[in-house]
Parts: sequence; structure tokens; C-alpha cells
Amino acid sequence: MTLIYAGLSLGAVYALVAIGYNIVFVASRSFNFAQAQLMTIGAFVAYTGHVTFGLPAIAVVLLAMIAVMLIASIEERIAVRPVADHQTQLITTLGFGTMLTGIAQLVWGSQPLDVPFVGAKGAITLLGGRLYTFELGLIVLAIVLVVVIHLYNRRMMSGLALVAMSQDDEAALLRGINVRKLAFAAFAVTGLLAGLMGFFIGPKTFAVATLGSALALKGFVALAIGGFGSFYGGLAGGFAVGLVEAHAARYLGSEFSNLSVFLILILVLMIRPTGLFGQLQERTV
Amino acid sequence: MKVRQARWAALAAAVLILPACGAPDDGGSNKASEPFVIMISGGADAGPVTDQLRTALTAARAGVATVNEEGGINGREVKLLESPDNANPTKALSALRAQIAKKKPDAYLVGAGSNVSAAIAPILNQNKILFVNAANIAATGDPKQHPLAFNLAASTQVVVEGYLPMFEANGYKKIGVLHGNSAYAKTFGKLAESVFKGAGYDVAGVEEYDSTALDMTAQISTLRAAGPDVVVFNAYGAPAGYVLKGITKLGWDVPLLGDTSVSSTPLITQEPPVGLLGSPDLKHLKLEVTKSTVYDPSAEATNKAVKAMTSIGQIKGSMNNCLGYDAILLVAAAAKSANSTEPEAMAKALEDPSVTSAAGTAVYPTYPFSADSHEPKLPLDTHSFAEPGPIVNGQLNSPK
Amino acid sequence: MTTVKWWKTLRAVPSWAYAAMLGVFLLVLPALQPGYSVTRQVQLTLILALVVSGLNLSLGYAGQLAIGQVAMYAAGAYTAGIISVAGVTDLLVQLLAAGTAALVVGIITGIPGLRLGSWSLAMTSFFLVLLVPDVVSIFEEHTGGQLGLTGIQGATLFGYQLTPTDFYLSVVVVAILWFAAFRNIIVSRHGIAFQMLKHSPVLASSVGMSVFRVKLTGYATGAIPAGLAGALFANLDLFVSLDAFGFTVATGALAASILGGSVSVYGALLGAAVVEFASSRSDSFQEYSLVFFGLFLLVGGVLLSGGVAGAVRPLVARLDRAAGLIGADRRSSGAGEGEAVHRIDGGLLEVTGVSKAFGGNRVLTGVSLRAEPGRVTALIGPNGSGKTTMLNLICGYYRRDVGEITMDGKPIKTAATHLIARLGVARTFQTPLIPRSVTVRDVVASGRYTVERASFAGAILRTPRFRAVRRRDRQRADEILGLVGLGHLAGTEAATLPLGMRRMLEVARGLAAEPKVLLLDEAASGLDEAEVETLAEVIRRIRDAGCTIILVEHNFGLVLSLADEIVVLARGSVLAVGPPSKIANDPRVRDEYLGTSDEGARPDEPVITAAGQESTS
Repeated sequence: MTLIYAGLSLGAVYALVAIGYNIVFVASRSFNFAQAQLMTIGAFVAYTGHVTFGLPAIAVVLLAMIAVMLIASIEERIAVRPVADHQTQLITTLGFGTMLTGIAQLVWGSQPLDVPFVGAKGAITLLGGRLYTFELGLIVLAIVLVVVIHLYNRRMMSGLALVAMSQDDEAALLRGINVRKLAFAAFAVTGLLAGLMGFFIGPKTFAVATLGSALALKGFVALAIGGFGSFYGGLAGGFAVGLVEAHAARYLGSEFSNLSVFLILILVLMIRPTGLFGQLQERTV
Repeated sequence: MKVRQARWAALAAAVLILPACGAPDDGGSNKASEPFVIMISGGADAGPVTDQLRTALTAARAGVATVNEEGGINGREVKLLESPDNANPTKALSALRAQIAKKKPDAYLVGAGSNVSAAIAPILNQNKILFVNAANIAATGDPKQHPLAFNLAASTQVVVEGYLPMFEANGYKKIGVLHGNSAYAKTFGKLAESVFKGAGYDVAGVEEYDSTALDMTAQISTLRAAGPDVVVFNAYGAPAGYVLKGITKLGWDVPLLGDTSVSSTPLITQEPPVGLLGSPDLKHLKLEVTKSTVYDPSAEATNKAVKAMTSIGQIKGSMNNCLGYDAILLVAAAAKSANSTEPEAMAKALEDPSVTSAAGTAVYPTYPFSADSHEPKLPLDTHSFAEPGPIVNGQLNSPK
Repeated sequence: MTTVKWWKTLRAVPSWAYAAMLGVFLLVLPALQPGYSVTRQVQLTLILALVVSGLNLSLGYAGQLAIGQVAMYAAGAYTAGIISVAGVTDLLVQLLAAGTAALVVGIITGIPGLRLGSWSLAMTSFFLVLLVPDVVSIFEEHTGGQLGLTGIQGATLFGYQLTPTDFYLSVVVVAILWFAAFRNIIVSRHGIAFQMLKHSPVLASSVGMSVFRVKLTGYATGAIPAGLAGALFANLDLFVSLDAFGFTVATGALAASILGGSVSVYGALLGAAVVEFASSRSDSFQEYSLVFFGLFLLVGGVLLSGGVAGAVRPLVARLDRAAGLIGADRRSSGAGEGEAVHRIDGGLLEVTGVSKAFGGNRVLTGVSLRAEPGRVTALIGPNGSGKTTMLNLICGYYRRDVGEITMDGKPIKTAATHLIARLGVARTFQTPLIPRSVTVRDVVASGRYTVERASFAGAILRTPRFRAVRRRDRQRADEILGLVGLGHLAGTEAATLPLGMRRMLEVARGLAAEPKVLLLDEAASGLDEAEVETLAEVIRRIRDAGCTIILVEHNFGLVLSLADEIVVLARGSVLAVGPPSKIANDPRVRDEYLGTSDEGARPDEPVITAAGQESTS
């Protein structure tokens, strides 16, 4: 059970990255390669808020969310908007992410920093397994976020608009949806969430500048397994990757954990090319 | 159209500015009045090992300052030539070869990064350049392969053997080993297994983790299932924290013995908020440290070195990361004893223990090399075990 | 005016000549004693350029998001290193072994890509880079593991030890040879095939290309230069370690490809030079190096959207126009004369009782029709009556639910589309599928892909056979272009033509395939009167040459004047069949088709759109 919790909490981290990718993907059919770095910055800001300023938890969360939202907004302005095609956006957002890593190293150094968690930081026993409160927090956060986003997408006008836009830019324009404004909003929202996620991730992984690159690709794998554009898929994919990693490391050895994830990825995609929860199109003709 | 032109202009400007930024440095020449050039693999950003790299640089700079104050190497001013390779082997090779093409350096120093050592050792050997290597690899400890290369760090064998008195004193019988997957960590794991077994202990389990992983619950669970009396582990940076958190999470009250790299991790050796000192995670932890890492008011050479280093930079880590200082002093002592700056003569002098023990080195009091081995035969009591405590300026119990 | 002249002289030199000049310059560079840093920089740049060119081939040209080139680079480097440690130091053997190893990795890892689309493929291929350290650790005793592989011997060639200068020259020569081969592939029909695949797999298979094979060829050829680069890298430093194949290197290669322009041959060189230069410079920024490199990617991406090559091309086109090198006349010149249409053995196509439903929605019910050689069979009916679905069933894009389709009496199984194309079924599309940056002549010539085969190796080596086939491709294309009145536009970029001409171009491409059966899907819509006339003339000639033509058309007048037989579809069934005179007077047809044309339309019937994707109309 402990191992399952370990896998799930790690998977929740991946799922959170995947959620960030997904919001931008759904809104603009492109990827924000700086997503994981945004979360890392969130963790650092949470550290600064907690430790340097000694703020109460709620203020720390708000601080992290607002700070990262601002950074994400800047990113949309300088790295996404001026570039028309998605392929080049891949490079510019990657560049932005690299810059964030560099800046984080300059500001916070290259050593890991311990980010405190609200209330007790102890481990608890749950259903016969051991886990930290913040690990439970991560798992719950990932699930809650996905459910909320899903409901929001279903119910709200702008949620529908997001989905419409990802289907067809022109159609969305015709329906009077401001595509640019929405794309900007999507980045702002991912920033906001990345700040929140950073607050939860920090206690588990420490705030460390290299965290971004460690998470970036795994988040993608989670997304690919779950299906691009699907929030439930990202969640399931994240958990799957986390569980496979933990169990492979336990029973096969650490050098097989990435290999096992890769095998699962290939296996899932060979059976369902669009991922577990991806929409299946009839043959592309 | 205007916008586009402006963009191109900006790009052109950027390209023109770039070459101006990297001013290559020239080496010295061999004349007695010319500086003695020691090239060092350096940089300012090596990802997780940045602090090790920068501390090694600070140490080397301090060593150079100390030697120059005392008149340099055989009257020649020592000049440190920093190669900005960020511990990347390909870039280190580029810089070294470019330098050799211009002017051979008199010696080369690697402060951190064993794959840099592995990459450049053959080139240094081929060009007959003295190599003082703080990032040990097997080849540079073997004078048959590399007659001009010397390993400075305590060999993994010595590090591992340092545990035996601790096992003895505490009556540990079953040992668990947890290590990372860097080159050093793998050697550590292998040697720990063979040395402990050889000394009659039961090695209950040896587990390896990926140093880029974010969770070690799996490996720790496996070890726990084997039920050791004590866990010996190696980690640097964030993984050290993951290991400790994982063990606390499982509610496992096993004694922990961290190796010297754990004691170089600020996360473990700093007070909150920077580090974890005082947290329950560290309750069962003891650290293996080099003796010089524990402050001793009577250790003159060490205290002098710390002063020299802190006057020009920070020591982010323990004294173990400061071998660069000793490297410079050793080269100076060897040149003085040989009365020559020819690499072969200096290497010969370094093989004489009386030369190295009189060099005034800070990390280890002596570096006993021999004609058969260029790995320092350090005594068994080189390391000791200490409760985790704040390491300031590279030392525990530092007077600040 | 002098600049125009100057430009004309410049353009008169073929573009490969400039690359050749650069190659010669690099070869004589050592004689100029540029110093170690320069030659080393050149070697590292060329090695990166090889990796990037592989990326350009698979990502830029074939449009496959297979971006794991660095893993193949690693495979090449470790293979070369390991055999060198074992004593095999001959550079040629090393290159061969490394190329083969990379090829094997490329093919094995490309297999999932045959099934996966865009981003999923990107993920799986990029993940490979992450696996390199794991695989290297698993085989630690051979690879040196984390510490790196040492003990590599200096490279030799036929027993001679190569000096650093010799090795520099070897790197340059390998790069020149590869880039020559790369260029030869790209300008050959195989290069065009990659671009057709990238534009639309539907298009590629419609001219008889096996999408499977073209994709696999793309992965495989994209892997080879990475392997060669690996061998060169291993011999350059005589040391191989994981640092050279990390995430940063992979993103650097990707950045070089995109910044240089993915859809270009020499852009790889340019991109590699820029990235290598920036990365070597970034170290002198000390602790700001990451920030600098990130900023470089960001600014580079913003400034060079579409790559350097992409930015230069419009400029070249503008200067060309100014210099009068491109004909400004874009009018069609009417159907040409001459012997353009050879005798064609048409095929008898019979469709019997075919039904098709999408989900629960029946689009065709029990449709039968018969198209005879030397006759135009028109298929008409209101929007959504199932005409295009019928064509797609014949071509094999959809599986029919029931029914039989035969050609000359032999049943066409629901085989792969490209196999049906090879049986002699050619077609045009409702929205013309014309790949970008391909000339009009090459578009027509691409129809001949299966008429005459030319091997891949032949294209690289420019064998006499390849040249002969290419000559006939061009000759035939020019004849057909003359026929359809586009002869004067042969050298223009096809995708820039107006809609009418693109339709005509598709007919020409179909004709180039020397088909037994030619399917024309609304070939006349969007054409002006003169163009319709030309089209009608062309269709008549093709018919008279003996071809079987099936025409789906809305222009009732055109149908009446052209068709020998008309099949009227309504709500998925055949309403009437007969010669034009009979159909024109059929009251039901007048009522159904000409009267209330929109009733009975099925808005959810899939149609073929430009992107070759299913959408609803």
C-alpha cells in the first residue's frame, strides 16, 4: 500500500503538469513547454513566502498563484503571441522555460530548499500504508482540479468556448469568441494553477531549479497515455506513470523504471493511438 | 516591412556583440619569469553540482593566492586558467585542446566532475601535463597508465573502510546499502558490499536509485524488508532529502550512516530555513566526515586555508569539496622539492611522502602517494562520524 | 537595374554550387591555419548539422514528429566507440557500423510511429532520449556507464593513422557527401513523396505510394546521418559520455532544425552553426549561461519564425520576380495541341450493391454502377447524396459494408488505398491536395510514382537509370502540362496557383499516372468559363484515348455535354441511369436534383477537406 501511495503521489505531480499542458493545448492546440518550470517557480515562491516572509499559508498560496500567473502572462506575450506556428512555439516556450530555470538558479541557488507544508508535516497511516499529509494533499489536489476543470468546461460558456476554439479557430471566431483573449486567459489560468501546484509539490520534491526538466517530459508522457486534450486522461496517465515507476524501481531495479514507463507508453498507444481517454476519430480521410 | 527589418537589425546586432563577450585567455610561457599556468575545469552552472564546482574553484583560487604570497612556484607567479566548461566533458576537452594548441599549461586540475577527468586524462597524458585530480577515477590513480596524474580524494576504499569501526562500536551485524547511480555512487555501492562482506558483516541488501528520481520509497521498502541493523547511504543534493523523508515516512527507526557526499549537502548540514537540521528526519542520522571538516583550533593549516577561501568566496559544502586548495599547494611543494617545474620531476617529488606531508595541505594532513599508486594511502582514521550539525565555512562547530 | 542584373547572374548559378563552394572552403581551411578553436568549432558544427539534417528529413520534409535523433546519435557514437575499443579503428568501418546501428534503432523505434500521429509520436521518440542513460547503464561493462567510455583508439583509414588535420578533413568530407545525398533525395521524386506524405497521407496513397513504406523510409534515412555523426563524435574526442546525449543536446538539435528552417537542406547547417556558436558562447556568461541560452531560443524563435530558410525564400522569390525570372503571366493558355495523350487501356469498373453507413447513418444503400472504357460516366445528385462517398469507397478510403467492386471483372478487395491506386485508379479531390513548395512540374510528375519505379539508392547516386526516369518524368509532365494549358507555369510553386489551375493540375497529375480509371471529384467547381471549356476538352481527349472516366459534378450543363452515361444518386440510392438525353428529360431527376437541391442532404456526411481530415460540411 505504501508503494501504491508513493506511486500515486508521484503520479499526481505528473498529472498536475499534464493538466497545465492540457489547458493550453485545449485553448490553442499548442504546448507550453515551460509549464513544469512555472510550477518550479511556484514552489520557490512558496518557499520564499513561507520561510523568508513568514506569511500564513493562505497568503503564501495567493502569493505563489499571482506571481506565477504574472510570469505565465509575460510568457504568453513574449514567447507565444509573436510566433504564429506551433512548431516554433515549441522552441520559444522551451527557451522561456530554460530562462526560468536559469533565473531560479540565480535567485535561489542550485541546492534543494525544503518547502514547509500547512499544518503537520508528519506521515500518517492510511488503509495499511504510510504516506505524508502533503502527499495525500497532492493526490487530492490533482483529482479535485480535474473534476472542477471538467465541470467548468461542461457548464460554463468560456469553457465551451475553449473547447470550440481547439476544434476550429475560425468557427470560434465566427461565434464571436475572442481567440486571442482566450489564449491569453488560458496561459494566465495555467500560471495561476501552476502557482497553486508549486505550493503542493514543493514539500514533496523540494524546491530545486532542475525540477522543471525532470517533470517536463514525464508530464507529457502522462498526457500521451491519457490522451491529449482529456483532463481525466491526464490524471489517469499521471497515476499510471507514477505507479509503474514505483513498482518497476521496487521489483526490477532503478534503471528499469524509465524503460517500463516507455513500454507502457508504447503499449497504450499501439492499442489506442489517441490515448486512454482521447477522442477516437474514424479514419482520417 | 519595417518591423521585419527592425527584427533583422536586432539579430545582426546580437550576433555582432556575441563574439566580443568571450575573450580567450592566453597561456604563459616556460621562461622562469613567466607565470606557472594551472588550468582548471570550471564554470558557474553545472546543474545540481554547481556548488561543488564553484567551491572547488574558490578553493583553487585560495590555493593560488596562498602560494603566490609565499613567492609562487619556484619564483614563478601562479596563474589559474579557468576553462568555463561547466563540468561538461566535451567542452572541457575543447578548451583544453585549444589551450594546448596555443600553449601547454603547466598543470591541470579537476575539482569536481569525474567524467571530465575521464575525458581529459588521456589528452593530458599524451601531452605530458601534470594532472592533479580531485574527482578520482581509477586510471589517474595508476602510474602505469598515467604517470603524471594523481588522485587527491580519499579513495572509495578508504571511505568505505571508514565505516567498519562504527559497525564494530555499535554492534551492527546486518548492513543495508543505498546508493545513487553516478559513477562514484556505483563504485561506492560495489565496494561497500565487498568490503563489508570481507570484514565478516552480513550485507542484507544493496539498492540503487536514479539520482534524477523524485521518490525513493520503492528502494527503501525493499531494504526495510531485508531488515538491516543499519543503513549506509550515499547521496548528494535533493536525493539525500528524498532518502531521509522516505525513511521517516515509513516510520522506520533504523540508524543511518551518510557518506561524505551526504555531509557535503547543504540541505543536511544547514539550519532551517535552508536545510533540514533539527527536523525529525535527521534523528537517526550520523554523517561520515573528513577529520578536517570538524573544526579544530589547533589545526593551523586547515584554519589558514579556510580563512583564505572565505576571504574570496563561499564554501558551499564541506572541506571535502576544497581539495583544489591542497592541489595547488602540493604542486608548489613538489616543484620546490624537485627544484624544477618539469612535469616528470614534479611527479617524482609527489611520490615522496615527506614532500606531501610538508606541503601544508588543509583537507588531509598528508597525501601518501607512492611509485606504485597515485591514490593517497590515507590512514583508516581519516574519517570520523558526527551528529548532523551546521556546517559553516566548510566545517562543523566552526567559530564563524 | 544593376542589382537586378547582379541577382540574375547569382541565380544563374545553381544553388548547390554555393554549398559546394562552402565545402571547398572548409576543405582548404586547414591550409589557412585558422587555429585549433576554429577547426574544432567547424567539426562540432558539422557533427551537429548531420544530426539536424536527419531531423529536417523526417520532421521537416516527411512531416513526422520523430524527434529522437539524439538517441540514434548516441547509438552511433557508442557503437563506434565500442568497436574501436575492441580494435576496429578504420573510419570507414566505424561509419558503416555506426550508421547501421542508428538505422536499426531508427527503424525499431519508428515502428510505433507508423501507427501513431503527431504528438504521440513526438512523445515516444523524445522519450528515447531519456532512455539513453538507462540503456548505457544496463550495458555498463561495454559502455563505461556514467563515467563515460574511454580507451577509444585514434581513427585509421586503410591502416594509416589519421592526424587531427586528416580527421578534420574526414569530417568535412562525410558532411559534404551526406549533404549531397540529402539534397539528391530531396529534389528527387522521393523527396516529393515525403512532402506529399506530409501534406496528406490520403494524397500520397492516391498516387500509389505506400504510406507505411514512405514513413519508414523517412525514419530510416533520418537516422543514418545521426549515426554517422555519432561515429565522428566518438573519434573526435576519443571519449563518449552521456553528457553529449542529454536533454539539452536534444532540444539544441531541435532548436537548430527549427531555427535553420526544417524544410530545407542547408538550413540544417545554418541552424547547427547558430546553436553551436550560441552554446559555446553561453559559457562565457558564467552563471547567466542558462538564462542566455533560453533567451537565445526565445528571441531566435520569435525573429525567425519559419526558420532562416523560411525567411530567405520570400526574399528570393521577390527578387526573382523583380528580375523577371518568374513569369508573371498566370493565365491559363487553353488546351494545347499535340500527342500528349497516348493510347490508354481503360478498365471496366463495376460497382454492385454497395452500402455504407457512418455510425447509424446510412449514406449509400445498394448502389450499383458500371463505368466503361472510353466513356465518361457522370455521377450526379444533390449535396450529400453520397457521390464522394462512392468515390472514396472505390479508392478504398472507406470500407464498404456490403457489395462488390470489380475492375475488368476482377474483384477489388477492400485493399489498401495505394494498392488500388496501383491497379490503375487515379483521382482528383474536391479540395485540391497540392503540397507546399513543390513546383507545378513536380506535382504532375508525382503522378508517375508507380508508372516507372526509381530506387532510393539510385536517387542518391544519380544512376543512369534514375536520370533516365527523371528525364521521362519531366518530359511527360511537360507534355501533359501543355495539354491542360499550364505549360508556361511548369516552374512555379504549385500551391500558389489559383483554385481553377490547381484543379486542372490535379487532373494532369491523375493523367500522368496513366490510369485505367480516372475519378474526377467536382473538377469544374470554381472554374471560370474558359477554364471549364479547357477542362471539358481535356476530359474528352482522355476519354477518346480510351480511359474510363467517372465524373462527379454539379455543373449540369457540363455533365450533359460531356457524359456518355449519367448515374443520378439521391439519398444514397440510384435514382436513374441513362444517357444525357434521357436523364435531362427525366421528371424525377428534374424534380429532385434541379428543383429542391438541398432537400435530403445529409449534413453529417464526411467529405474530404484540404487537410485530408474528416470534417462535417
